[in-house]
Amino acid sequence: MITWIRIALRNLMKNARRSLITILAIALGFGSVTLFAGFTEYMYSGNRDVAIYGRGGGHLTVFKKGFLEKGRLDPARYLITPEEIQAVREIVQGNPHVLLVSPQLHISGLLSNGKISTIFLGRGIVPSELKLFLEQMRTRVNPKFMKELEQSGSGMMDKEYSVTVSSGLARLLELKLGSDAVAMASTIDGQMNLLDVEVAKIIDAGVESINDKFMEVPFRFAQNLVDTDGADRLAVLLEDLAYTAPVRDMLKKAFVQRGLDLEVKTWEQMSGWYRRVKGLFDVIFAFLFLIVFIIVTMSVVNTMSMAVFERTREIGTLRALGFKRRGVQWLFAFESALLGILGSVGGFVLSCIGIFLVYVIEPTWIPPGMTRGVPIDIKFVPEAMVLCFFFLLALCLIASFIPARRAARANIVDALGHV
Amino acid sequence: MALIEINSVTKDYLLGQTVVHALRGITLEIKEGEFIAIWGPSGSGKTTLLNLVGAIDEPTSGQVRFEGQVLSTFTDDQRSELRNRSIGFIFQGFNLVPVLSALENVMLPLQIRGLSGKEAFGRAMDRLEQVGLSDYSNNRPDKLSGGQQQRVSIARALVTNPLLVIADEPTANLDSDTAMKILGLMRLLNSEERTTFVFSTHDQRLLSNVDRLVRLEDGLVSNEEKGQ
Repeated sequence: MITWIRIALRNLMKNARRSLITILAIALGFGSVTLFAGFTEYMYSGNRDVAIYGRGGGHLTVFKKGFLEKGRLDPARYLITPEEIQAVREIVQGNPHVLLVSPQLHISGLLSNGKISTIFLGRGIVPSELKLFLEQMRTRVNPKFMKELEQSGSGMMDKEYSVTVSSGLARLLELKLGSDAVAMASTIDGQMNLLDVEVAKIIDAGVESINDKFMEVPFRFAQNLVDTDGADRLAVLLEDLAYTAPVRDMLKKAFVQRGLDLEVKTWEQMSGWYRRVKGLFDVIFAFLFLIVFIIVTMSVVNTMSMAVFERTREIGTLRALGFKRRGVQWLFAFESALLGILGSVGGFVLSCIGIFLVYVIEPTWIPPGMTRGVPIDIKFVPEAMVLCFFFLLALCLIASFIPARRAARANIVDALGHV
Repeated sequence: MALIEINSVTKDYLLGQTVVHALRGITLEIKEGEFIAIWGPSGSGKTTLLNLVGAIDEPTSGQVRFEGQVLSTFTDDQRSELRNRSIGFIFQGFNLVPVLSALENVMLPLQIRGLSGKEAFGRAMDRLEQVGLSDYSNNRPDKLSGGQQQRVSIARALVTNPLLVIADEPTANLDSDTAMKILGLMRLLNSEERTTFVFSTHDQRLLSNVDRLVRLEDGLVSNEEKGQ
């Protein structure tokens, strides 16, 4: 075996320039695929974290059955009652993977500074629970970026009427920290209700379309404003993403057993944005992969075809000495595999350099619909690297198959007479 | 029983639209330990005959038997095994693997057979020593003269202790002096080890020291005579 690897390696070295070009093509392919895989992983995880922690949606969200379809038309009917909230808490009690069941109430209405009124979209959340979501978010997001989003204010809505407003909304109503305003909304019975608020924190909502409307209010405040003791959803925060499906299944089963008229959705089902981003990047990734596939295949086929052509006489000699056909195929397979291995090693180095440069330079970009630049990150994804390595190795072997087969099946006499 | 029996062998080639009759019905026996020269003008069928005897080609009709076994009944793998086990080749152009050293070239047939590196190394070194090239064992072919390369080729052909060595114009690319030395070496190995040598040449100066001369003309044996 060592002899054949030695022959393969020396033949690659003999045609150093050609081998180097092929190795570089493979390395660039490996580097670009793994770097892009690292970037998409960053995009996916970033969007996932925003969906789970940033928007406070949790890994799972529990709704009254039918809320997502008809909740807006008949909110009173589709709110989760305090008894149901208690029942869900009892179900998850003792499950070590569930960190929190957070009742939330999304509201909308008008916010007024006394002179001007504008629409707001609010989320009512228990302040201590919001803190837990934010803590989880901080461990996952670039701290500099997180600090930029949390523009000002100590953060906690420590009074029942303390609210967090988005920077666009604050600008529209000329609100500052400590400013008072009036929130107006219709109760679930259709009556108008007004409550005073005090701005405790100003944040950048991140998304352009809601940065001039978003408001975060204490859960109790939201309940008072719409005059209910219920919640429209329960965000379930888990210890780890991996428990999403098992806990969802457990909840579904328990809801049926207890006769609760509730349904549960995963964060992915709830985040249309994530699905769209993933869909887009999956297509780009597939396209890039196809280009790499073509370049690597063509390079290896070209290199191996040239090698077979140039070494036809050598193949004839080896066959005359007793080398079997499959031996010839293996010989070229070794060469091709070596190209794949060396190219992948080169690609790994390129990938590491790319990741390091991004880490050092910290470039930013403004994604469509966002209010500010988002730091670009490239994750080191070992699974992608291993997969890419085996894929390229297999590709090299497949690409060498036809030339190697031609070599193996060559007539020995013709091969020996090849000039 | 003869080592090689060739019965009414013909070999046709298709050259474009034309059928070339390279061998037109040859019958010949080669006994173990013989040192035979196949000679004749260019195009007489010498190389074609050696290819058939060496199991790297198949006749159009007729039979070639090796130790009584009909070669045309062998599968490709069986023929490969036969060549590796029982036949050594010496080529006109030496045909050494350029990326391997002299020693590695000689080790090659043994490693094809699956011998360990250590065993192959010992046997290859012995053969290199026998052909007087032990000092050049690490040289690659491009660092050896034509004569040295052919001696490596002889060592490679003999390293498996084959029953038969086939040499197709082994001295054609060498000067007269070196050619005589190479032939002398082959003859020595033949007499010392009783290895059968069949070689082709059209150089009459090399024919003085052989057991038997087989002259081919137009694909037929035109004359067979004992050597001097």
